[in-house]
Amino acid sequence: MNENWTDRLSEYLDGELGRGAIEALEARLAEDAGLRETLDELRAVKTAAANCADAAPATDLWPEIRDRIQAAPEASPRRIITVTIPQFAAAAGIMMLLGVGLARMGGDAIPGSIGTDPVAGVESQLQPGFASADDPVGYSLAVEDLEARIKAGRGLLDAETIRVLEHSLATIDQAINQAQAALELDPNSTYLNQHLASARARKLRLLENATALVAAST
Amino acid sequence: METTIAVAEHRGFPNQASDAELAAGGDVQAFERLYRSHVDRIHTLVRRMLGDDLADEVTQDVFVRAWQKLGTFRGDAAFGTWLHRVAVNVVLGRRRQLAIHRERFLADAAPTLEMMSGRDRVGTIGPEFEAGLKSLPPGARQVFVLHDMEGFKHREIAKLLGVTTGTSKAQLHRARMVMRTYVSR
Repeated sequence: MNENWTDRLSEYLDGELGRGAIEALEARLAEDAGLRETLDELRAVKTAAANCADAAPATDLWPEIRDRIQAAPEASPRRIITVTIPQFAAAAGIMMLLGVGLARMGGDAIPGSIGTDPVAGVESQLQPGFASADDPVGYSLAVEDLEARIKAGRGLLDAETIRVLEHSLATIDQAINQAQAALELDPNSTYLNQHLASARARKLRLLENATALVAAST
Repeated sequence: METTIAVAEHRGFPNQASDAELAAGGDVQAFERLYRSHVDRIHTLVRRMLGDDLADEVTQDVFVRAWQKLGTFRGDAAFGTWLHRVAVNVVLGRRRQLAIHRERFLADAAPTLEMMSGRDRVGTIGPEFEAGLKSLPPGARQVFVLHDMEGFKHREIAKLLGVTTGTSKAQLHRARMVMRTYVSR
């Protein structure tokens, strides 16, 4: 019995040989009783494995599992909060209106913000010490903080909401990346700087809205 | 567009969809029902992959992990399928922890008998087959269990174990060749 042929028997059994190899192997099988016997044995192993029954553990494992999941309540599954797209949009709209309202009440946008930017008012929602969109360090810290809060509460949002959120963030991130790339070539461009600040402000607003949804779901 | 947990009901376990939903909401009793339905299969998988000594402990880990991740189960697969995936991931994580793969795959030439001393719990095939399974080198045993007993494809096994499909095929054949003696006895 040729070892090389033997090595192909499992692939033959599993239907993973090419047509030429099948024909060659079957020709060999026709003249090699030992090879046929090995094939039958391998087939028996495969059948036996597929028909092996499951067996119960010797002891009931549930009491310890129950203790473990009850001992770690922070890790328990949380109820999934369903937020429809219209609800998400409404929440975003409310946050936007709130931002515009606060901006009007507070007068000028905060120092450093882009006064002519249509979303500049959003920045006035930022808490004291919170970053504005054109404060690179504070902006990064704020984004990290909001993203961490959303990540921690991700399980509370339904899949569609997360999909929309991720799609929107990807779109905004693309705009930010494009603006940053363009600014490397033309760092003094007022338009590009405003565009970057605007995109960053949009990202902050979106993250704040999502954070608000998470907070409302807890 | 209303998106809900929408846990699918599936053949043979019509109540598990609602139990999964209840458990995702923190209902421990519902989770216990799921445990009772699936523990035999999960324990068997773990025992075959890691051996008797770790089977109870790792089975517990699987169900604790499943409880923690139930919020991510959305019913686009049967609960049993989802749980099975969780179990495989937990087993492979433990496998990495134990560095079982230090003599991985083709390097682990001699069949090991280190798990022969464990408790014997056998299926309908008989103790010989289970004993043969324990005698396989870890790499070959895992491929054999995943492919011939759990229905994974070589492509999936290769991804799970971090090997090539060729290695997976070679290990499977090697395992089957060893297991012949335990079937024909």
